[in-house]
Amino acid sequence: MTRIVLESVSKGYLTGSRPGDRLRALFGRVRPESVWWALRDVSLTVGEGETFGIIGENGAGKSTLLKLIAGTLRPSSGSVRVDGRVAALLELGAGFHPEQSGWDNIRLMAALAGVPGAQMARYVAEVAAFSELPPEVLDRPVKTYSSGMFMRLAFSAATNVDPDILIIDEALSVGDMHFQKKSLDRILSFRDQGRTVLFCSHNLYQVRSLCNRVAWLAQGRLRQLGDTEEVVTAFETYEREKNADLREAVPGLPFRNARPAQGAPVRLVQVALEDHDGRVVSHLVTFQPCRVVVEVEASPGAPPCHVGVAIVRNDRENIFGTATHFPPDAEPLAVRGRRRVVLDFPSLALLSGEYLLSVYVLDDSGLQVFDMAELICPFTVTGAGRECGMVYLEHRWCL
Amino acid sequence: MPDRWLPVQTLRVLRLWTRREIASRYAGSGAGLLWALLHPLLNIALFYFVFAVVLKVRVPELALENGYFFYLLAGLLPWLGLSEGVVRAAQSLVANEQLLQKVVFPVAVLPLSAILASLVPQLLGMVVLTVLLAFQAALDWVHLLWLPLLLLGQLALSAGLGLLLAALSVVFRDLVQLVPVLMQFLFYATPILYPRSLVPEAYQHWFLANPVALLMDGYHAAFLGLPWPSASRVGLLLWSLGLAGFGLWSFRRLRLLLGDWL
Repeated sequence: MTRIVLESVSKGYLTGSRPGDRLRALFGRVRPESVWWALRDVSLTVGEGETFGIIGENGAGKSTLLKLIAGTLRPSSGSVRVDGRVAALLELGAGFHPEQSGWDNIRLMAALAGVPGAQMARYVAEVAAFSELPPEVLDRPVKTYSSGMFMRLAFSAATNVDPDILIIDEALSVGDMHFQKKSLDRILSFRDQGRTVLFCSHNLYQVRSLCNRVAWLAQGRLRQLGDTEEVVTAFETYEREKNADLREAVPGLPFRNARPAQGAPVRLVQVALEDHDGRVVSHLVTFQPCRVVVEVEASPGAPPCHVGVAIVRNDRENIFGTATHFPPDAEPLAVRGRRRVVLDFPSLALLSGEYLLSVYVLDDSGLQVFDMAELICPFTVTGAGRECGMVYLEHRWCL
Repeated sequence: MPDRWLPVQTLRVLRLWTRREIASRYAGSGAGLLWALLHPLLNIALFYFVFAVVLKVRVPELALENGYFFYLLAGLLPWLGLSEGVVRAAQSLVANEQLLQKVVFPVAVLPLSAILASLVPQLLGMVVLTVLLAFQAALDWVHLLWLPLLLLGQLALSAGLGLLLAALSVVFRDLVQLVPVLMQFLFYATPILYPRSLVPEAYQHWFLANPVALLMDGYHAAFLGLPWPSASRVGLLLWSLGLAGFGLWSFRRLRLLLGDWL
């Protein structure tokens, strides 16, 4: 059974502030340039019992989408159909009044949730019990609560209804650890009872753990829709690559330095990532042996130099860097004409991810950079085990 | 959220939200309701001094000693309730725009509760007025029977006006600033400070265009036994129904635009 059906839904906000624009808009005449589209042509279906995640960057239209489904906004075009009772937790504590007591606030939330008068007393008691706030606290105005107490009450009041569809916008990180666990359990129990949960979060770990399907919104459009792992991984890759302005680099080919530093005594010519058979590679498995081959070229009479190599993740996070002058007894390299410098990894302990190299040619002190090429030789590593993170650390479990 | 708001659910939200309005408006500070009453009391004292003591305005139809004082109270009390309600109702949607996007809400509750909460000082004042009149033995209890109907008419008028202005404010934000000015104008166009009978005959029929003036005719009749022409009664009835209907109609159409502007 489908619970939510969106058919090519668009939502545009009107930006004009001139009264004339607004008057025209009142009669349905809107100038196209004064509309800002928060959501364009989004179609999706959520079935009963699904836990559906919505991810995307800030301003991608996630909140607008949730508001449309919750019914606090209308679509500009397209249709939104929702079957069943909805509880929307778009902002924790929205609708609370600081001057009123906890009890009064609970009662109002109950009335807004449509709790019938006959069930009101039971509802209020349940919310109070779930929040674990003692009655003497609930007698006080909400403004006297600590933020943790306030959030506990707000979450309890909002989720104690019995909805078919629960909509949650970034509300899981509330209260202390104990209460976080309780609220997560509540969402899990909604899920296990076969309710539909719609969940929007920046916390991709929680999205991974909770959702069975995910929609990725980008600039108001549906970029990808599918299984959680597939969509979240694609989003993570996109996020990292956006942060790294990648050089034009073709995976699987050595990097040739098209613009060596002018006037530098020693220049970088070529860099390649090779496996142990000397083949240039763009794909490795964790613990596979490999090496970075750097070719430099010196002008006649050039001073000796050093070479540095760094492995960088595609979000520019530096994973590991080393240089020829790091060992205590290191001598600078004398280069006459061309010279190959090889950095050998007998067992590359990188875990799954997208990585790049950055290579530097330095003077004999290791401080001045003669030439460099950053974010080159993109390569992918696939992990074999279940460990997560960037690198495999030597370890053992003592049980 | 209910699939659709049933009247009983909306009424429950209205009741609780009005209670919240009252609590936050009148009980926020230590002296509470006293502060809320101070404003009308000062107003009354000021107007009484200027118009009764300095300008020596009298109400010709009233034989009562201090007649002007009672005339002033009978009109000013409902006026203060009505005008505060309308001004606050007009602001209510714009002020709560964020809330309305976060919580599914029977939106009409906001302006209506603003209007209901504004009745509190008015009703208290009317009790005091009744007691004072009774002490002067100047009260015709039969006329007081009009009060419930008049309050209903006042509610219809202010709800219609409040809903209309609240909805228009969604589209035209500046209206929120303009409403108090308009209310000021309406105040002087209504026989509250001056007896209607002092207005030249040529202008009398203009009062039919001012529903608040017709409402004041009713209150003056109910408390002081002043004449209440039938044209005024019929006019008040028609205005109440018309304004309430028009306010509701325009509100239901315009409130959909809430949240459409950045």
